[in-house]
Parts: sequence; structure tokens; C-alpha cells
Amino acid sequence: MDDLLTVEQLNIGFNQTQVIKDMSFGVKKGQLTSFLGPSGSGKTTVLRAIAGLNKHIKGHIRLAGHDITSLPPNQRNIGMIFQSYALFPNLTVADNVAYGLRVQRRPKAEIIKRVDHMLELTDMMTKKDAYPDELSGGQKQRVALARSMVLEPQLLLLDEPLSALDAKIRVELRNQIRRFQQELGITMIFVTHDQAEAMAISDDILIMNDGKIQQQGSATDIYERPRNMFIAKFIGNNNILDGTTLRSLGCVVNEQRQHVIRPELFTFDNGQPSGATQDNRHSANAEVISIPGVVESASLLGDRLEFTFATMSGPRLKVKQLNTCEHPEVGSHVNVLLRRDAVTPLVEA
Amino acid sequence: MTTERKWSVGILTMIAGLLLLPILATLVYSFATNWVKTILPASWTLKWYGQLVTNSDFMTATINSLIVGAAAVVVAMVIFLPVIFYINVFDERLKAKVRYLMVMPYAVPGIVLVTGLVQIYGNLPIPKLIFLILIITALSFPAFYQSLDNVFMSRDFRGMFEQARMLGERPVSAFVHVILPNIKTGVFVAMLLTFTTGFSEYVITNIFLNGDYETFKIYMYRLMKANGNANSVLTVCYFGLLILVAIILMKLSGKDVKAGK
Repeated sequence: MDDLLTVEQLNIGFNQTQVIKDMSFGVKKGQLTSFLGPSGSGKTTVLRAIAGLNKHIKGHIRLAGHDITSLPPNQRNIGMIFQSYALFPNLTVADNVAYGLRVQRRPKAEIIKRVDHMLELTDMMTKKDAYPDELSGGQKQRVALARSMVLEPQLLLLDEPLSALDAKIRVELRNQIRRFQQELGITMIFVTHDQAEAMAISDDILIMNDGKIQQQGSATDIYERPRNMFIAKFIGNNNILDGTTLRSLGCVVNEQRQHVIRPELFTFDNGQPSGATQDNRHSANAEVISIPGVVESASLLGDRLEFTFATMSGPRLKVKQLNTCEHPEVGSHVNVLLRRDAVTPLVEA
Repeated sequence: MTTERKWSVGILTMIAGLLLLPILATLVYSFATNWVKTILPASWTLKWYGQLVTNSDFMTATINSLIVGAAAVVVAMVIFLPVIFYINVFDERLKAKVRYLMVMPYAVPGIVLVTGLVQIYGNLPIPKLIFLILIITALSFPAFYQSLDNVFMSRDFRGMFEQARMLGERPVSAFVHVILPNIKTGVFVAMLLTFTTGFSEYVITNIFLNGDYETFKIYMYRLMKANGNANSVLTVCYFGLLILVAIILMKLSGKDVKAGK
């Protein structure tokens, strides 16, 4: 699939501070790509550069093969949804949605038809005559979506659109955004600092930190094969262990590298008393290794339980289990089982 | 009503009474034929009103003041409004510097200011009225800025401006179509305060223009020495005019503004 958007060697600086450093990436047509990263990583800065709202940039931005680097925002055919919704408070919902079409001087009949269609799609028809101040946060965000989508932009940018909403509405709205994106075939870039949000709806994720792309790939790629220490720490709640420590636990790994073990890949060996598989775990050929230790603490996370497991040889492990299965008591001596292929080495430091 | 509330209402009523009493007395005096030793005037008349409105000096002074007030509003709208918008929306760091500017008109006494102005601009071959309008506009900056600053803090105007740009608007159209309707109330308050500053100015106008340009306040001062009743009429007209301007601006600002209804 071709890239709709290509960003080449993007550099952005403010007051002699380089915020974005030599960044290059592509966004595929018809996909939802997320920019994921902590605050200050440069996600919004790049998004604003793509929108044309950030003038002081170096590098090239191409949309459908055309260089749009120097074009003003109103000539890019890019839509944007802001974190604050940015609805126009003096206009009704219908007038907000119609705004862009009126700027384009579309015929009145066409405006009414397209606005009504978009309000139906976003389930805002009953509120078409309401003013923004009369709407809830979720409704405001749906109006903002409708207002941008009605123009059928080549690319739609969403700058942390769900961050001001409560948890339940966030989940509903993110699924709605994904549904609109797939039904209308819109190419979207979605900025978020919430990894669960990015993973739930994205075809492609760019993880950013310190003005650089740390890794680009599908949610599965990034979750299962984090490239470096930053991603391993940022995504999930991974166990990060060096080669020497892992060897002491019975894993045969490259001692020079750091390794990641996802906490849900451990299982408690409830049938075996602690230390019973001591001999097996040193066998280089064993597919599953058994690690003896003590359950230090357990935290209920709703559908899951997170344990701190102190191994006999020293390191503490994070272990996650579904809340449905039997689990050991805090203080009990048990073994945890780990498949050897669950240990993922980091490619970079 | 709680005791605290009773106290608050009582104090506010007392302050309102203190402020209103002289205005009320002036109003009564403007209708009085003679008011010396009685609680209320001995008899009532419209004579002073009739004399004043038929006096060409009154009309000239009123028109002169209206010119200064209106011109100050126009200049402030053209210069200050875009600057205040830029500072609030795109460069908030400038706000700290603006605060220094806001103190300036209060820090320099009027008489010192006007002496300096006469020294610097007094002999330039440019009509002094233009300088006067610019100076009065500058003096109205603190009030103008404060009226708009509060409004700009109330919503995400940067987001709204940028959103309008993303929806296809050019910068000026985005400002006119999106920002202006939503800061309307603040703009009208700022206009009213600037107009009042211009309309009511006395010290600078009198000294800088050397009495050549008689405004409402200068005429009022002249009349005060000649006829107390006529001066009361003038004071009543002065308040009446400002109230009228305020009502017009309030009506205009209320029109079409549905936000927050």
C-alpha cells in the first residue's frame, strides 16, 4: 500500500532548542496511524507541522506526492480535530458542521444534504440546533469530528481528541472514531499518550520520544517486539532484565543484551512445590523453565491480578494473571513457569 | 438572609447612595430656578436646558468631544485589537511586558505628560488634534487591554482560529468570522471605555491644544464659572450621553451572541 503522507528529514526548533530531530516516516492511505509518546515527545509538534500550523520547519512534507511544506493550512486539504474541540460557540451544531462547506461556497442544497448526513452518522441530528455550550464533552467531540469529516479531507489529524473525556466515553468514542475511519476510508493520524488507546484502534503506531521516532509498526509488533529500552518501559509493564540476571534464572540468553519478558507470559505452577523443578531449569534444552520464589504482593486490577514475585536468586518479577484462575496467596512459596521463547532481546540499548 | 449577606447588601447600598446622591442633586439643580436655603428647589424650570441646547458653543464642544472619543475608538480598534489578539493567542510571554506598558499612563502624572508632549510634538507641522487622538488612545490602552484580556482567557481562541484556518479560512477572514463574534462583548466594553476616556479628557486637551479645541469638559469648566444651573444641565447631558452610548453598545453586544445562553 502506498504512503499518502511522507515526511522527510523533518527538523523543528524553538528558541534554539531542537524539538524534532531529522524525523522521516510515511503514513499509508486509508489507515489509522497513531503518534504515541509521553508528554513533550514531539507528537503534537509534528502534527501541527503536517497541518501547516507550524511554520518554522526544515525538511519536506508530501501529501499524495505533492510537496505541501510551504502551503498554508487552508490549502492543504487536511482536517484537524483539536484537544479542546475548538467549536465555534456562537454557531449551532449544524452551523459548525456547515462552516467549512460555506467557506468553500458550496450550493445551499448540497450543504444541507452533507451536514444532515454527517449529523446522522455521528448521531447528533437531535442536537443540530443546539449551541456548543449545551453539549456534553463527548457530543462536542462528535461535532468536531463531523465538522472535519464533512469536508472529506485527504488526511484527518486528531490531536489527543479524547483526553478531556471520562474513561467510559473515551472507549465509546475511540471505537466510533475507528468505525468512521473504516467506513469512510479516511486516512487518520491520531495523537495520544495512552498506549491502550493507540493499540485498540491503530493500524500503525509511531512511538516518539525526545523528538525522534523510536519504533514504527503494528500494535502487535511494538507490543511483542519492543526495539529498545524506552519502548520496553513505555509499552506495557514489562520485566526488563539483563542477560546475566536471566542466566541466573535458568535462561540461556545473550549476556550482553537487555531482555524483555511480558508479565502475562508467566504462569504459576500451582501443582509443584517451590524448588521441585530445580534440575530442569538448568537444562539448556527445556522449552519451559520453572523459577522458584515467593509471592510478595498482589494487586487487583479489575480483570487481572498483578503480583510481585521475588525469585530465589534475587530479582523481582512482575507477574500478571487473569482474575478468573486460581492464584497463590501472598507469602506462599511457588514456582512460576516461563516459555523460553517469551524472552525477547532488545535490538537497541 | 444571613447576617453576612445583610452587611454586604447594606455596605453596597451605602456606597451606591454616596455615588448617586451628587448626580441626583445635580439633576435636581438643573431643573431649579433657585435653590439656596430649602431642601428642594423653590420652583422648577426647563429654561437652562433650552438655553444650553440652543447655544452653538455647546453643540461645538459636544461634537468636538464626540470626534475625539470616536477617533480614539477607531485607532484603538485598528492598532490594539490585533495586537492584543496576537499576544493572547500566539505569544503569551509578551503579556508580562504589556503589564509594564499598562502601568505607564498611571505612573506619569497628566501635567508631566502634557509638558513632555508639548516639548516633543508642539512644534511639528502636523495637526495637534492627530497627536491628541493618538495620546488619548494610548492612555486608554490599560482599560482596552483589560477588557479584552479577560475575554481571551475565557476560551481556546487559538484553537478556534486555527480550526477556522483548517476549515479553509484565510487569517483575516478567520479573525473576522470566528474570533470577532466571540469576543464581541469584550470589544464593546473596550470601545465604551476608550470612548469615555476620549470624550471626558480634560488636562491634556486643554494644555496641549492651548484651549483652541473646546471639548465638552473644557466647556463644562468654563460654564461652571458663569452659571451653576447651566453647568448642572451640562453634567446631566454628559451622564445622559455616556449612558446612551453604553446602552447602544450593550444592545449591539447582546445581539446575535448566543454563546453561553
